[in-house]
Amino acid sequence: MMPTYYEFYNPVKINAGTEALETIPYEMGMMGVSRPLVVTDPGIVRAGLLEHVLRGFRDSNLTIGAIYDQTPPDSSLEVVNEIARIYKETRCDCLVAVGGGSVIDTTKGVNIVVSEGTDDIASLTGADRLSKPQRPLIVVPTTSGTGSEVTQVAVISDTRNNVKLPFTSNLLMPRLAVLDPRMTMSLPPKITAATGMDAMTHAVEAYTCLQKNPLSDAYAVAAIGLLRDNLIETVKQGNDAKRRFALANASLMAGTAFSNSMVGAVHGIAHALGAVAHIPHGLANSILLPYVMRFNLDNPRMAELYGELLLPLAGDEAFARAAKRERPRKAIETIVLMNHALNKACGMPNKLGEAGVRREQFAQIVEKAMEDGAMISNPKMVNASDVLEILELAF
Amino acid sequence: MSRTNVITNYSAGKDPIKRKVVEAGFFALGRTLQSASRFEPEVMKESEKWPIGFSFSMDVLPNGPSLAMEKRREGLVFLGLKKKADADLVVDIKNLSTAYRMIITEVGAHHVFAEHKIGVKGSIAESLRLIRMIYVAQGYLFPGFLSRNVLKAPMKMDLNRQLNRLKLLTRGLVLGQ
Repeated sequence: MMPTYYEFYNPVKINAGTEALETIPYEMGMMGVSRPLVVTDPGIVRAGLLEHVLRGFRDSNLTIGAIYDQTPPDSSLEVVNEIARIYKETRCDCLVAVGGGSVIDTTKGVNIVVSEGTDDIASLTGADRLSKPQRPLIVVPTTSGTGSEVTQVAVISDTRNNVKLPFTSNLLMPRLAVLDPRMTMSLPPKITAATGMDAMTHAVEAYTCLQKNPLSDAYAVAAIGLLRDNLIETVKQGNDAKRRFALANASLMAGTAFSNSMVGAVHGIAHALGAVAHIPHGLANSILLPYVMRFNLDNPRMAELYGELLLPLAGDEAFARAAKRERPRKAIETIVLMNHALNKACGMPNKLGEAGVRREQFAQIVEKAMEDGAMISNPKMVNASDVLEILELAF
Repeated sequence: MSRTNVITNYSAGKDPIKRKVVEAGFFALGRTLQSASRFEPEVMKESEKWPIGFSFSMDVLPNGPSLAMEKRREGLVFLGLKKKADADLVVDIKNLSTAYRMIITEVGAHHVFAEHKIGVKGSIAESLRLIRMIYVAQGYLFPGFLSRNVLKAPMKMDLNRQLNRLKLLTRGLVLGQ
């Protein structure tokens, strides 16, 4: 069914594959910039990944204005302001983010500060609040899950007031995403599993949320197929560059899909779980996905769409074997089986209790989930008692 | 040789009927929310989360109309159809046609939000609170066959809600209390 209206936006150039990092200096020249600030975190440095990026700059005649390698796991206003100060002091003219979701969001935050010329980024939180073209941002993702390299979203923590500030604007889109297989080769199995299921959740919710459209559908279905063929095997055998590259592509495509169709209740509850119980976002998504799908199943439109997803989730033979009315349940079962296989392969928790969530945190999680912007995009109405029931079932 | 017609300084004009319909809809919504915040349990529960003095402005871009309200001790107060420039929460509806479609119940707030036809200045959480309150108001304002288009789930009209509706449509909408 075609939507009555949709918007689709993805201006990000994608350089993907062998030695993609080495193309960055040329691309910077095309953007008219020459002095980057590289933002990363201590784990990336320890894993030797920053070295790959720096090697890509050899013989380019470019000088890296500064390297900030202390980004914490949760980006905060203080860190953003500190990096923005370094950017100005070292006269940089563009940004390169090397890392996972936190590094990328932090760098987007820095870009807001330096491009908008503000010292109060919190005043710009919300949707479509930015007004000035941002400085060129190049993103080199080191996990295959968030899809932040192609999204217009950044979430920065206001640690003083204990709230997460979301920023959404098309202006936040990076100019270039670089997928280089070297950057995800050393990702540990548990993180590979959780981030992979994060991408899976992006694709499933993108395919079923209110603003799904023919273009986001194409990206979502392709992403699910790549995850089906490569995720479990990569968790078992991490040193396969081709599979790693496939997962990076799946993550990027799922990110493009959800950036244009929005996400739903899985994300609404997962954001709250992250804020209250501090469990990693991908893990929260992977645990919640089948439970929220079951909750949505009595909505006829959702059931129809889940049924369609059995094809990319389980492959053509399984799809053909299942009667039409069985397909929605089979699709959910396939996700459950995938979670079980990942649990067996690397110990990824399948229940909230195993992930360290405590029942006494539920009330706070419910309250925060109901305030999350993703809830409005879930096609079925979700109220507080529904969230509590989902949490109980997933516990 | 054919002559090329060049039209310069073309003005696309105005759409006064749509504007009047949106103004009427905003007026009804403002008065309903104002009244509901004094006795309707769901709207009271949501609006209680806002501090005294909190204000919001729902503006149709670029020239209005607007719906502005403020939280006071007695509940929400409808400030009229003028933009409140210093509101804590500003919801921008990107064009008049979208606001019109919302008012005539062709599309719901969640659809408009998902279609990127709304911009939010301020907290997303508070904008969701506002949308939940608008859902409740629309559930009372429109009969079931119309509200089906704008609500994700139809409001169940038990006796209490029927009485609330009566109160809202008389005391609230007509008398502005």
